[in-house]
Amino acid sequence: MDANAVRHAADVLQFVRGQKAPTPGHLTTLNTAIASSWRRCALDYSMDPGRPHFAPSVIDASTLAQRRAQYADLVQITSAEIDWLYEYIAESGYALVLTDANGIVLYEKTDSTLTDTFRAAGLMAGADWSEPQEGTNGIGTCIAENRPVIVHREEHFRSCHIGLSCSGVPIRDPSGALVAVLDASTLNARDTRASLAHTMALVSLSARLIEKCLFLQHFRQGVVFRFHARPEFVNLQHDGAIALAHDATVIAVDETALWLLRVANRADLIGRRIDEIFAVSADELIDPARDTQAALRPVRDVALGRRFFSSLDHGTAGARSSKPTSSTTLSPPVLQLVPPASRKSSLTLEELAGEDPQMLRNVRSAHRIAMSRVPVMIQGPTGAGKEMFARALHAASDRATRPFVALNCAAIPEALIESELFGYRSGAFTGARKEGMKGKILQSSGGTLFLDEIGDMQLALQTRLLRVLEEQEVMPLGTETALKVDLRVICASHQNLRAMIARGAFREDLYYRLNGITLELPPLAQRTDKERLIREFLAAETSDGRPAAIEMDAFQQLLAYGWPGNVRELRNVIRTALAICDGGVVRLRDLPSEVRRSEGGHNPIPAMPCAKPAPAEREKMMQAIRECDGNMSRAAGQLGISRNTLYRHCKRLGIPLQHSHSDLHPRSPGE
Amino acid sequence: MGSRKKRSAPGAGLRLAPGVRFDSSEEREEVLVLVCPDGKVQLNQIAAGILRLCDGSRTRDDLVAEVVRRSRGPARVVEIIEFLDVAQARGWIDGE
Repeated sequence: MDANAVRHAADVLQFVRGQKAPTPGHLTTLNTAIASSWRRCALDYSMDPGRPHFAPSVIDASTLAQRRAQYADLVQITSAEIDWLYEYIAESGYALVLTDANGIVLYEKTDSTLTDTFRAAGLMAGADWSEPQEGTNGIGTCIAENRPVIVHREEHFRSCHIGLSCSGVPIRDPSGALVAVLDASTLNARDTRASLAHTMALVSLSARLIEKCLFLQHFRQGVVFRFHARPEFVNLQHDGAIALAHDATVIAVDETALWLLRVANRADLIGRRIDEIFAVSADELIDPARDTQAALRPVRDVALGRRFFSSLDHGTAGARSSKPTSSTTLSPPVLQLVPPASRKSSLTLEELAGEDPQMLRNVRSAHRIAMSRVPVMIQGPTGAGKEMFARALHAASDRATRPFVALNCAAIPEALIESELFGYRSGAFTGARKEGMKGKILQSSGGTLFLDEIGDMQLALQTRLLRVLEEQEVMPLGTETALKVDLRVICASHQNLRAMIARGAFREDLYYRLNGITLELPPLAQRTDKERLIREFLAAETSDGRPAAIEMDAFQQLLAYGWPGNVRELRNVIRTALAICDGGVVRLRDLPSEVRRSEGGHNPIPAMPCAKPAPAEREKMMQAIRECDGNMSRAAGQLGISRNTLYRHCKRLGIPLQHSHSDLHPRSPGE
Repeated sequence: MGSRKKRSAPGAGLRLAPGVRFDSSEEREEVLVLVCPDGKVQLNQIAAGILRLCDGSRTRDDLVAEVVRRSRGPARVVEIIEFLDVAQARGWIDGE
């Protein structure tokens, strides 16, 4: 046993005997959950913190198989969830573990290069991590305390576990009883208790989702009332769920429902009729003959009168009823024109995702963390839509009504970033505005702060930003007083920040602070859903109610082009083409030459695309201009096109404009 | 509109030209495809809405009025007329 372990054992014993506060610098304050766990270990289990590490107690294979079978639903749901979590945190050296309510590991997932290390530490299927067995730890102590716990390194009771850091979160059944623990553990000494808090937030989200699945599975034959204050969250993991008996009495309530209704105990709701809790007609609600599935209905809770939106799951029969397939486009012979207001020029997460598998995964992840403060790092090439994604993420979060504040660290001179971010007091420096300025950090408080090109931020500022993130306080330049802020940070970079860390250009601790999860936006060329994206952009760019169309040969070229500038370039090309085309109909000639020339399209384009267009068309226009003595307005009128359109045609067809009365500044389609 | 020629004569209204139809196999929300003899065309919702109104029952002016009536929000009369011009020039619709 090394010196650290010996000292740890001595410290622990001194603490539980009440002789001494934990050694300063070693453990300055002891979390109450940890303190009571240490006392249990020493006094109730008579455990010796210095006892050497014996092979962990592992149940035999047949017992393990039996337990897994007993928890089949749980294991199945959780393993899918663990696979998701794994993608995000395994890279940082985590093991993800599911145990039953006795602390027996049912399922675990680790980086294959670390499997042996974790096995040596006892993290393997069948191992018993209950508190009486292994002392204070993320799993056993979570069970004993019946709440989420972080057990960081020296907070473990036994010396042999002080290399581990664990975040354990309970998974509860519909009655609220702890049935399992989901735990993320790491052997990485770099992780601080604060960085574990982020891991814990992710693990908690997964636990909530697993609970929701368990709840819905448990009541799949029954009726479940689901509600949320915002209509778009109903039927998602964030909503509250209440299971009802056939007489409309409440038989189970999930954690979110308790929280949404501000009710402390399930017992306060169970056994009451739903119409005592919400202002609804229970008979109408519960009547299976009614098509209640179809719509969200607004409801108010009886206690506080707040408005929610609700829907009702009528068990499996109802759940199978197929999604209404766009009746607007199928049935009526004449399409109802969409109200332009229903479309906005900013896209939602779903619209950004399109049908690309990687983007869909990103969006799934984004939705999970939208309601939390888990920091998000968006990586992707220039133009891949990092800011659009950040905006959509903000719009999908509970902060949507608060400000979204963006700062591009590459676009602003270094010297200005500091004041832009932190703000300053009046008279803080020469040239400062008299009234001072509220920095972006403060402006974004309660909302979302988006830091684009974070890799361009200089080291000194990185240090200040780190402090703001850790303390959730900002001190404007020239002031002594710190202001509390409620920060949610999304940052983005096209650079490889890990490589920057390696060469000392980016602070590693800031990286871990900012990188709760990483979402990789693929380059447009790799996306499998370009068709859909083109249509999305066509719709978004004409959301003001203009008719618009793209002819197929132009559409094929848009698909075939390599898009080095990614989504931004695509959107710009569509926007420009719509601006220069005739009558909103985008044709091949309206696309920039590099797009027209790209190979792989169904219509190979001649090397000189401008030389080709119909001579007849050119002749017709020249004649009209001649007939009108060079008066372009009249010539355009005669041709039945707009004056601007005529100018564009002239430029395209190389018609000389010496007869023209006015100057000409046509837009180049290549812009 | 009155200044434009060839518009006033009553008779057959605007309709899809022979051989032009909507591609029903691709009809999903926001995916609206017109099949023409010389290729397909991707339409946005408004464009599709306008072409669906071209059922022979309306003159150009009636049709524009109908589109304006059905649009909520500010109607883009000029763009609608220009679109009809091009649609006719491209041979997607005919009639008066």
